Amino acid sequence: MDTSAISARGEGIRPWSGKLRQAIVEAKHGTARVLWSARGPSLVAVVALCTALPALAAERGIHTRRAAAEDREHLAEVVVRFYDVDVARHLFQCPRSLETMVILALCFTPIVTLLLAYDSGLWREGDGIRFTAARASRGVLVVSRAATAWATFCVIALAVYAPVGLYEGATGLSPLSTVVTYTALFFGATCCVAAAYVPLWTLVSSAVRSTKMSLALGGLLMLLLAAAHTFVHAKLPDSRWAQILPGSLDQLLLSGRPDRMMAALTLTGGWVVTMLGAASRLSKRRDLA
Amino acid sequence: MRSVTPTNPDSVAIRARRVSKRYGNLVALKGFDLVVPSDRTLGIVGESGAGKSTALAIFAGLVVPSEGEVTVLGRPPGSVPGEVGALVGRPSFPQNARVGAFLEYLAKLQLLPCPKEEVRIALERIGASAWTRLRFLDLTREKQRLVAVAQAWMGSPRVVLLDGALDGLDGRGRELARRVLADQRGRATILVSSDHPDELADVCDERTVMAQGSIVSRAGKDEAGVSNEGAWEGSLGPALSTLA
Repeated sequence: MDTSAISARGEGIRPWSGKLRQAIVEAKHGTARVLWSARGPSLVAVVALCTALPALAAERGIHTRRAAAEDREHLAEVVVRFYDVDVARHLFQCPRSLETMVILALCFTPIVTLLLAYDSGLWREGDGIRFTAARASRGVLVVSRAATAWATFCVIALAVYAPVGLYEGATGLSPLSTVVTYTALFFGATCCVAAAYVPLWTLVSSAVRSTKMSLALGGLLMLLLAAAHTFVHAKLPDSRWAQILPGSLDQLLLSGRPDRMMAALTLTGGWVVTMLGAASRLSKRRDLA
Repeated sequence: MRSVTPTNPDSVAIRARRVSKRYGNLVALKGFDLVVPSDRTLGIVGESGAGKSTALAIFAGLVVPSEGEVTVLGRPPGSVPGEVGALVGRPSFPQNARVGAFLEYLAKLQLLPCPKEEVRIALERIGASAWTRLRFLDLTREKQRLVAVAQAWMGSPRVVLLDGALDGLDGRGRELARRVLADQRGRATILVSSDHPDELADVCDERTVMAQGSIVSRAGKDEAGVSNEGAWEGSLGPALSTLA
């Protein structure tokens, strides 16, 4: 048995490039594992039932122009309860089903990301953690597990946005370019909001010792963020500082203004770096055996 | 008793100085000192609860010491991934995963250039080439334990830590694991632990006896590695008697 021909340990690979490759390997493995397990398909089904189906069903009942106009006005009234006028105006211009779709998708983003990432910072024996932890640093594992949860969310989001976009395009009620632009924009906004939430759940799971605790603490935090979002919208509508929370990023992303969307992307980047940095530090202090 | 202490600091693979580990009120290690020269095979024996697993888990970077200083290949434990192959405690594989696919994933994570080939060699070592397509749930615990031993050698790591490597294996499995140890002896720094003092006699260059979180005795063979079991056992006698 000749092992001499095999160069071990990735010799010659620069440290950062090695870590990046390890993160990609771990994220690909994790994403495939979630999507092929019961969790992935069941989340796709639940999210589709809660977002795409209502979005398509709402439009099927509207047969006259007048009914359509009344419906849009009613929807706009609902939108301004949660978002500012800029957002309501922007959403008013897009196809009806996509507007319903993005509002519902953003409502469900916190809970779906929590269900995908509640165990991303936990080291569970059944995952073969002692084998992986001896091969990759804790920081790499934490970052790649968060990336796994986010990538899985993006696949789920794509699976529910695509049918709505295709339906809207097939009906011909709106120009195809408008449908494509808004589908891409709303899909991107949903993924961006998810990118802010996932590191938060990873940090929460890194700070606790069980999945139950992670889910409970994550759920509590989710309610607090929703309350903060509602409070900010009602009491501090003009405060830009208040929009830095993950639950308020959609105000910026759905405004339709490039400067505010860029600000949202920057804030998301800041959240990701801060939360994952903290999660990584916490994970390094944890015993695995 | 002759303790093997390297004169050249570059040849030290593992160094632990005054290491302690506490789990709440339980003291798993206290004032633990150890220097292991490169490419030597060190057996760590001691009864259950002596601190063997904790020491190996610290060297593997899986457990953070409460106090003290540890270096593996001159760096903090856990910062030399890929250079250290480890089997610590009774780790479990994801039961739905296929043996070959999971080992290939580990090989990729280790940044090995030929993951498939590494898996083939690892399984061949334990006479398990036919297990590639099987799921872990199709394997008995003993066979899973053998795979766990095999994965520690993937990529020819410079340090291999085997906690109770021969535990839970029957005659044939034990023989295979011992043969792997014998084949690799001198090619890597190997630390292997066991509850049974006699079990490691013929596969180690040195043996260390632990009790209550500390080293109570250490004995080695001569530089040529010639077995001198009588003297070895004689020197270990008093230390082993403290375990009774």
